[in-house]
Amino acid sequence: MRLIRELKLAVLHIKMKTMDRMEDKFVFFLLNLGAVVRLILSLVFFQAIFTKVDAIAGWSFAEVIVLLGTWEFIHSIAWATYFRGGFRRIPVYLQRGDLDILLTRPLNLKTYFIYDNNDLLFSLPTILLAVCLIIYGFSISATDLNILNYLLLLIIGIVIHYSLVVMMSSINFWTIIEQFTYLFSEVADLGRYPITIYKGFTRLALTIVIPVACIYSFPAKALFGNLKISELGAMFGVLIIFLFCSNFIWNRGLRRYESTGF
Amino acid sequence: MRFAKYLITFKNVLQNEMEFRANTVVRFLISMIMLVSALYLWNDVFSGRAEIAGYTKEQLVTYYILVSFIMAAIFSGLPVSEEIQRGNLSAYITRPINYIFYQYWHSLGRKTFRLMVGLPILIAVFVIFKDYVYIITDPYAYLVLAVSVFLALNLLFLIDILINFLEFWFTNSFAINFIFDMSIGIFAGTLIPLAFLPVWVVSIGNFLPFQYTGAFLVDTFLGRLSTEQILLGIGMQLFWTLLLAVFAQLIWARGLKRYEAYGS
Repeated sequence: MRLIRELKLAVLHIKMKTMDRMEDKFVFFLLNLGAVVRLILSLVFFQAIFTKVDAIAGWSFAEVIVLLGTWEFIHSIAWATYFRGGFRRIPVYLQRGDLDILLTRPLNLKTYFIYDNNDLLFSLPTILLAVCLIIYGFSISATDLNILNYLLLLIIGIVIHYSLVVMMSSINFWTIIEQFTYLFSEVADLGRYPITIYKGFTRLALTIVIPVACIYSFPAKALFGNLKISELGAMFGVLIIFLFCSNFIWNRGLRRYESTGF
Repeated sequence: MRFAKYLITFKNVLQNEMEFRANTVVRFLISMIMLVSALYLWNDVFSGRAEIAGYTKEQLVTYYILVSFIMAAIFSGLPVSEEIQRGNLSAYITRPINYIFYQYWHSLGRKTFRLMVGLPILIAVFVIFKDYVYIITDPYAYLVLAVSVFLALNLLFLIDILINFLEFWFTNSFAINFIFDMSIGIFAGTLIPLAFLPVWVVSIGNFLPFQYTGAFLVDTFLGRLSTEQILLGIGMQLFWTLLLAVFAQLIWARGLKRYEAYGS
């Protein structure tokens, strides 16, 4: 029953936000133009490097393109749902005391933030562009592709990304990070590059502590059949640990919360 | 005496920023995260190569450190579009101040404070990475860098305020700001040095002022430009500043005619 109620609420929110966004056709055009520009710039960046080298840390151009597409896809999904209006705004909710009204409602806040303030309509072109980029990467690759493995690991990557967002935004319950959006986007940017460029402790940290490797690089590696068993194991391990920890930290944070509003 | 009121604004902003200094420190620390990927990426690209596109590995590492420091210090959003949208502009236009001047001194205060806070962080980064960076000992290079940073700061302010003024015509000019942020990454050379870019991208960039807010400053400091190129670049910074200042004044006058505020 609870799940059905949450689903109904989510559909209602998506409808409302979509209707609301239909009013801003010019902004829709500009925002998507911006997303296209960002994608072109990323392509120009990597193409510029590939004019000087044949591979980046063992990754071919096609593999890097799929990685870039994967990054864009997860970024757009997160932005369209849980990151944009929900978890990103926690510092503001806490400073204003706005969380009180949300906590009094009979809903799961961690789920509510997925669809509250969603922006699926405006993000749709960016999501499609990311898919095009992934398909382009497929098409220029000469190796056999494991599409099913890729899709499975992509979904796991999104769940780990969501858990990471929950964990990082929960820190705000202890100390407010005003520049949370900036911090998270810089951390996520580390995943735009193949994980193999990082060495030693940094690579280990980016695999299990801030697991950008599991979120972005491993699905792309799986597509080309380059993912090792140990990496697959690490990914499932990270998924379980992050799901547990995000839930634990979030609940501890909520328990700590004291309203500062009027 | 005419400037006294703006100097007071400058001082007030400095004092205010001092109150929230932790925010500025965090801003610089976050901007350093990007260095991690830049250092590893270029380390891999340079393996077995002495130089690429005229840069040595040390020069490129220094390039990224400086460019991320400069951008964290002088790149900041103005509150102008929000003030236009909310009708808060009325509080300024009824006062005997020039609004653009007021915003300039306000922004100058913030950026000066950021430069002051960022400098020790920058020195610390240079000390930590001393084996990987390109150390410049020529005092002339530091002088030229200081001048060009100041001119770039003015240029960025004017570009920023012009984009904010679009709010007079379009609601939610943040979307245009978003495109601007994207463009500056490539044309100012903050994403990758201009020498790596295809000719067509550089050709487009030559018609825009962005390279004089990033790549030009760092390339000058690294000694990659001749004296003639440096003088030409500073001349271009002044030219764009003058052009955009005139343009900003015109747009402001036109925009003000469209401005309407309601409420108490």
